[in-house]
Amino acid sequence: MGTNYNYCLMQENREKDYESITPFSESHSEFLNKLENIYTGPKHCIGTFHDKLYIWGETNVDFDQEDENGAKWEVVPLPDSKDTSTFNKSACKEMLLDIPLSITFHERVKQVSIGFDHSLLVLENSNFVYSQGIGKQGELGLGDQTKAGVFKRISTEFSQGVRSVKAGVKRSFLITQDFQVYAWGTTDFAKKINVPQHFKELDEHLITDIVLGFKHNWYLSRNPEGEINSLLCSGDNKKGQLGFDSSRKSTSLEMRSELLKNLEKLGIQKVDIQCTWNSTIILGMWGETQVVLITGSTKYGVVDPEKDLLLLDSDKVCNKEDFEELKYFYLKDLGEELNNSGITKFLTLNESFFVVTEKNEVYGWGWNEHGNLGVGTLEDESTPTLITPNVKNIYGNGAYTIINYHDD
Amino acid sequence: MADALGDDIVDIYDEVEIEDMEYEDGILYYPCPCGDRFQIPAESLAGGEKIATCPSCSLKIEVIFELDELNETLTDLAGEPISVC
Ligand SMILES: [Zn+2]
Repeated sequence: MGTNYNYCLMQENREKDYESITPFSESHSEFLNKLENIYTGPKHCIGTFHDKLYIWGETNVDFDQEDENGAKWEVVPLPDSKDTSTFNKSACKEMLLDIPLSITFHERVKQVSIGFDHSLLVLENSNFVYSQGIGKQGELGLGDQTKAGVFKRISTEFSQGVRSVKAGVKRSFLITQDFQVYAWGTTDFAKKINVPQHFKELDEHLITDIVLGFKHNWYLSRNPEGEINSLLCSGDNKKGQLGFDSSRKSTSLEMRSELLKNLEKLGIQKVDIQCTWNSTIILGMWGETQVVLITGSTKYGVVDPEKDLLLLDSDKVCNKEDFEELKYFYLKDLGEELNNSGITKFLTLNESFFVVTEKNEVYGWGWNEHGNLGVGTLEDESTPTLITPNVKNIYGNGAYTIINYHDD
Repeated sequence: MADALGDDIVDIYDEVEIEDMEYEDGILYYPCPCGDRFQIPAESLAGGEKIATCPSCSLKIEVIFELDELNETLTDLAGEPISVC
């Protein structure tokens, strides 16, 4: 559901918004179901299966280019799609792909991360990272090269091994197996860095995860139990998305230990952090209750001014002065049903949210201009609304959503 | 036409410094959260327009720039001499 503008939904009609949940055709379903992983960016999608990678949507692919192993893109025929024999390969640059293309690597695909115009790829047993797409700010990491029509190897070798990559809008991050962070592209600390650069200030914090908004960044260090031990942030705060007073437009790297301590003192456990483009979401358990705290952009139904109070204005917090770091966070009114359900997945599109519960139900709220919430309207929705049951997984970004249902 | 004051004040998604935009063939671009790009011709900026729109959705941004430094800024962005005013 949502916009098919970039063909991320692979439907023939590019102009149409799908405001109701619309089933994929049989061959599309079959294709999507056999993928091991699906990664969704604002403009394009990538699916992986063992050593194969599939790409569709709006992206820069070039049929004339080969990767380091001589592999090229191939069209994936889907019988329900338009006739692929007429597919114009020569025009295949910055394409709108309504049918997937595939490429085969000789190693299993370990991880993919999608930014805005670019994607990053890590292969199993490789100390290199590969990038594809367009990157005028250096986010490809390929030196002067601003376009890559296939996945090209970034020349830096990470002999410590690659733990994960994270592509953002105009920027890229990498975490090595020994917790060093590398960054390239345009970030809040450097502009147009076109090869990976070691972000030494983070070394002592043993970063394990990076969570990115449009222009704000969170750096997390988790212990083996998955709890966040150490938290830092940097980037834009124009809309209060880092939880500071919005008169403070941005920040360079800053420790947020006090924020973690405030959450702990309040009794919020199992803390996790996510971002939309212009907000930060803290998820956690407050006793038996699931809580969602939001700071930053409050428009487009993200926050309901009637029902969602600033956390410190709610009657649950007595001595406000002890929780200075939580001052700008709203406590989202999830409704009784969601408050008491375990959350198995929390997905953010660029200004909207989905929650999958332990009962496999999906709830959503936020920006819905393209019908991306799948509730049958194009109106923003500020109340978490039950969208559909029986959900196995949900994917999406920008203004589109893909749901994978359980078989029965 | 420049936006009138009063009732016509548009709902602005974000305010963006011109230095953060990308220049391509006379047009300035900036990523839109819907997956498309906000855009505005450089010449419109020279004419006093400040609102960049997205062809795919209703969101708009306001471009922050100094009119008397516009040519210089565009030249920096384009990497070649640009003159629009
Ligand atoms: Zn848009």
